[in-house]
Amino acid sequence: MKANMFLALDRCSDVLFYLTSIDSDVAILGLNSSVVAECFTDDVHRLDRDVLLIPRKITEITEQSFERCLEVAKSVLAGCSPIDTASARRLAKTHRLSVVVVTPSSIRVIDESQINFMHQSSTRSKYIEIHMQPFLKIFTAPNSRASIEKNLYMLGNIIERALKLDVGTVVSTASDDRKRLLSLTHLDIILFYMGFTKRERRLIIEVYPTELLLTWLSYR
Amino acid sequence: MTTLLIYIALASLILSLTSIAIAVLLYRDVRYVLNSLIDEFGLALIARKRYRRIKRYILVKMVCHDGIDIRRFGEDLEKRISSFLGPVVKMDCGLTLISFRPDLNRAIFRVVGSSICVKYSLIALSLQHFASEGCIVVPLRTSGLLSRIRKFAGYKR
Repeated sequence: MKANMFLALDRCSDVLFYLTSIDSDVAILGLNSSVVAECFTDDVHRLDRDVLLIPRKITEITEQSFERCLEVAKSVLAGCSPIDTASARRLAKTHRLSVVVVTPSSIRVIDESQINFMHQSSTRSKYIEIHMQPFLKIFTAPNSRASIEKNLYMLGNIIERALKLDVGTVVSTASDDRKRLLSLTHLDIILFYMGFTKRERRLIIEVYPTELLLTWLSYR
Repeated sequence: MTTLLIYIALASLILSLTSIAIAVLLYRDVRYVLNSLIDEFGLALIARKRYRRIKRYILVKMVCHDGIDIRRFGEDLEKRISSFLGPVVKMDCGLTLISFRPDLNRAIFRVVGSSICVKYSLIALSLQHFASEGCIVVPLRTSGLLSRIRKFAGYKR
């Protein structure tokens, strides 16, 4: 079952365009909880196939606002994007299910040491979720100081370390623009370009997302 | 008689040691001369192939938003990909649009060059809509046989 754990689109027509034209074989799709409620609670927007929709909420956290991320309702799968080292380390140590979101703004605090901490955690409920679209947006900002080569190098190191220690790693498209959508095939090609094998790519795109879903359902 | 045999043995020992010493001293020079001879007569080209050129076909799906003409985009796609790859990569990799079917939203590209070219072409096709606005291109399948790709695309019934 192919899974895209987060799609940041907020209009129903865009979500339907993604499901019908871009990724017609996605089986699990994560959307903002407000979008799920708006688009799919009534039968206005019908799909011709079965898709499992997961309500998501992605929050940026600091040490002061740490609890805000984990206090989300149990019907929503929360993702926490730490922007300081202290909150990242606390996420690795908490006994609850934690999904650490990696974006260009949080990658400097989520390094290989963070993966080691997550591996040493007493519970096997720590997951890394990589949002690919913000990394690729560096292409469209030529004057940006961030280097896409450096970001992808750091990302490759994180994924490699996580796979080696069997820490759950999920890659989501996190597309927020209708004109710059990414499909799961694109993600597969980007991971292939970064040097991951077919088995590793299948783990990232199919196996770990399903495992995350089952873990979340058991924690509810 | 015994003394003669001892002299012969000593002489042969000295001869062997001298030849070993000469071989050690002249090893680098002899190797250099031999390599120069191999290069001169083109034997290196026979011994191992330096450049391996492969050919692959990539089938892509094109998804266009309202207001974008797929025909114009398809005709322009090869130029877009070439500019996205840049002249340095184009020195090594050849990418040609060989078939375009606007009715099926499908196109087939031929990639010729070293093995890394397929990787470069796939990533360029996948990310071209980030560099400039246009249709979204999703690579569907890669194969070494054009007939197999055409069959998969639904060109042949």
